[in-house]
Amino acid sequence: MLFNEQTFLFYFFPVVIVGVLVFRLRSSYLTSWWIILTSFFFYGFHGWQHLPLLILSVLVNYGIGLGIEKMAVKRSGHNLLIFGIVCNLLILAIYKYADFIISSFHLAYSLNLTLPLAISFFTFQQIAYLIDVRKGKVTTPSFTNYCTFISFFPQLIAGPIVRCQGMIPQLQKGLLGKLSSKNFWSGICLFSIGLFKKSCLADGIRPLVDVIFSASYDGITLSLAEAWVAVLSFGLQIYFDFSAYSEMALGLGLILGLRLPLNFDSPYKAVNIVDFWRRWHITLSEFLRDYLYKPLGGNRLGVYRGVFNVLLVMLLGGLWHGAGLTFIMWGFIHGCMIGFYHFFRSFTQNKAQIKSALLKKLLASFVTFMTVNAAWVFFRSENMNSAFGMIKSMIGLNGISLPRSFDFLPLGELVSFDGIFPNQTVDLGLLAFLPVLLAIVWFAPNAYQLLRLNPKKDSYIVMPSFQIIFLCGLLLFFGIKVSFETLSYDFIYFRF
Amino acid sequence: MKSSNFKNLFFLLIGIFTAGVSWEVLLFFVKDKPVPNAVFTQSIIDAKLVSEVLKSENPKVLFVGGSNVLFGVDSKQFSESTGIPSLNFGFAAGMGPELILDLISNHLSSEDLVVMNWEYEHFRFERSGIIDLTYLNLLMSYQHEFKRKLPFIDQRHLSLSTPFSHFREAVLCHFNPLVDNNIYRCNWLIDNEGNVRSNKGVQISKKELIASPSSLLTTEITFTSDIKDIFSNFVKDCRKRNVQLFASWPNTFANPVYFENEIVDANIKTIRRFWNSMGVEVVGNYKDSMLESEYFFDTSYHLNAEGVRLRTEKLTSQLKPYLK
Repeated sequence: MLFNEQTFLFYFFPVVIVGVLVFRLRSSYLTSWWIILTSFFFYGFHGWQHLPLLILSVLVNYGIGLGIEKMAVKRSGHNLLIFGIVCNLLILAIYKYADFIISSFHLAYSLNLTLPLAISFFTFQQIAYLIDVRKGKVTTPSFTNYCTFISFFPQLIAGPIVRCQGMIPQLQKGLLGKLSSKNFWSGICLFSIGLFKKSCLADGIRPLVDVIFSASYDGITLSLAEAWVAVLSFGLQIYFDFSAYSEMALGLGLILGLRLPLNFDSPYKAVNIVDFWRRWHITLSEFLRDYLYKPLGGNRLGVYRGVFNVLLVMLLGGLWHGAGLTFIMWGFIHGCMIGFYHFFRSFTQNKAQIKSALLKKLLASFVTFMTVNAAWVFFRSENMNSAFGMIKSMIGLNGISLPRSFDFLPLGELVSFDGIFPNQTVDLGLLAFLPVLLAIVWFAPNAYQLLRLNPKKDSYIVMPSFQIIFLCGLLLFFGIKVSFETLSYDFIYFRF
Repeated sequence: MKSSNFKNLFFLLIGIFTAGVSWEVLLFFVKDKPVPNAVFTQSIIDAKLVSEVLKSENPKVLFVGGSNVLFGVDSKQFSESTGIPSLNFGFAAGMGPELILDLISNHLSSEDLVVMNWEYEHFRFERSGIIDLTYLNLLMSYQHEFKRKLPFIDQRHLSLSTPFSHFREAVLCHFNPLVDNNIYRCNWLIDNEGNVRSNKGVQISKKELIASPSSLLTTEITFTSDIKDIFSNFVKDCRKRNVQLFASWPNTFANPVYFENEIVDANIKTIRRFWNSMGVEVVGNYKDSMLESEYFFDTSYHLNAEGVRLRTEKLTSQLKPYLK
């Protein structure tokens, strides 16, 4: 069940709301259990065989959390924490990486395990919880609140990776199911914007991406223009897809009375790679920073060690996305870029500040955008061969093809005149869509700016204006309209 | 509930309504701007509707169905063998039975005989279900008038199911001066009796056919209420006009999984019961239309020339007792 499917839109969510309205009148305890049960149903709907794993994971981690708290000052508490982390990582490793490791050693068997949905998300969320309990940052919540914190369906499948400190106080205040006008209408607007982005923009550009990348996988040599169209299109597809999911999750959370953390903040407007990671999958970046980068020493142990730590963290970040060399490579590239940025900054930070001119900012944004997009090649490609083939095409090593009408130019052997898109993989109708999407990414206000929401501040919620609600009505229609079409696509982050 | 909530709800609904109306206007704007898929299918329809057989005053035999008829029955061979004019009225299965029956109903006259060979998927047809693009593209262009005959709710559902790509393609094809829509017309050889003459040799291997049994036959068939209405209305209409109706079976590769299979047997019984309940005679056995791999052309529904000859021969012998 996806947020953009009719099952969710017309059956599941309305039933959840009706249940909340009914149970809220009786007690917040019943409301919480209603949300937990519907969340488990939501999870199980994707594949019932993995629901016991989620429930077991919740039970075991809650138990370990209690144990850690009881042994707060003892060494055994630390051991229990290590045990908890190892258990979580082991389950993740078995399901997600075992077959990858086996195949890397060219062994003749495989476990053929299906990846449980959202395993990376609920595992990380619970590891963070255990560490925070050990550090004394949080106290163990009631079992009901803990279950709600982990299983809350708007964030269960693809984040944001919620911290205990952000969610449990809201649950303890009884905010779950407390339907307020501001929350409800802001939530509806956020959800509508997200639904439109997913259904019309991300899935709209998808055919362009799929056709060209599968051509590359099939060994077809792409022209320079085809490769760039594919890369930019995927950059936009994943941008709108993830942005849509994040907004829909926040919107649903708000409708149900809870504020989820900001996870996406116009990352393609970032002026450098570090800024990009402050805006893209914010909660994952924060997790990696707080639970991996800082414990490794961060940049406190010198520039070189700092760069090494970044590289390691980003490699693991890449691996978190998927078991495959392409994801590792993607993480490595980002690690290199961030490492290079830190390295460069360590030499320039004491020098006089250069005035940040608009042109310089635009140039920095453009360079960041292009490098991030180039790195997506590894994220999207089926294998390394296909990725390197695509990179070769992008830098013109597979030759450049120009329109036939230019064949009078004496341009040597690297240039042919078979048309800009010689493999006919590019749907020209969709191509016109690219500049529109780029303009939205770079120049349009994001959903939070449009709704005047600032999730980083306490004064988060503002009642949307009538004009905005009208606009969201338009977007909601087109988002729902697409759900009537035959094809529907998963969110990209669902597979992690 | 606060009054601001009512106002918000009002503006949200106005937004939804405005978008809905705008979408209908956009679709209305492209109704005379067919997309490539529709041009292709309509050119097959046109080739059949101009046939002299349809205009004939004498009783005729019409073979109706999806592509299993189009690539499965030779009406010319049937006519030569029986002396009765006949027409292959098979189209793409994706067009759905309702549109195909609507196309034929204008051309039926007393004492005609209609033989229906519906694909197994047709028994699950729903106007508001999963919509085939072939059907949708036709209804949003050449067959716009047919769409208007459908219930209001189903019309809205069809509009909502129409992908944005339909609108984009329609506009691009119409306004691109370099594109002549005729290039999308079907270039198969279709003779005057509606038979395709370009499906000669075998293109599909036995391995491929075995690997792809039809899940439509191996999973339990339940007739949708839409399909019950569509067929019973057609049967009533035929009775009124003194048109004889027969049902037969679609051509399918004789995949071993179909035999001694309880679900398949149950499905066949269900289909037979369905036709019998409406008083429609079922000719032959479903195994008569299950042929070996060498008789197939490109899919498990499409026969090659030799397959068509064999199938028509069998069908002719089964229908002969009913011919006057």
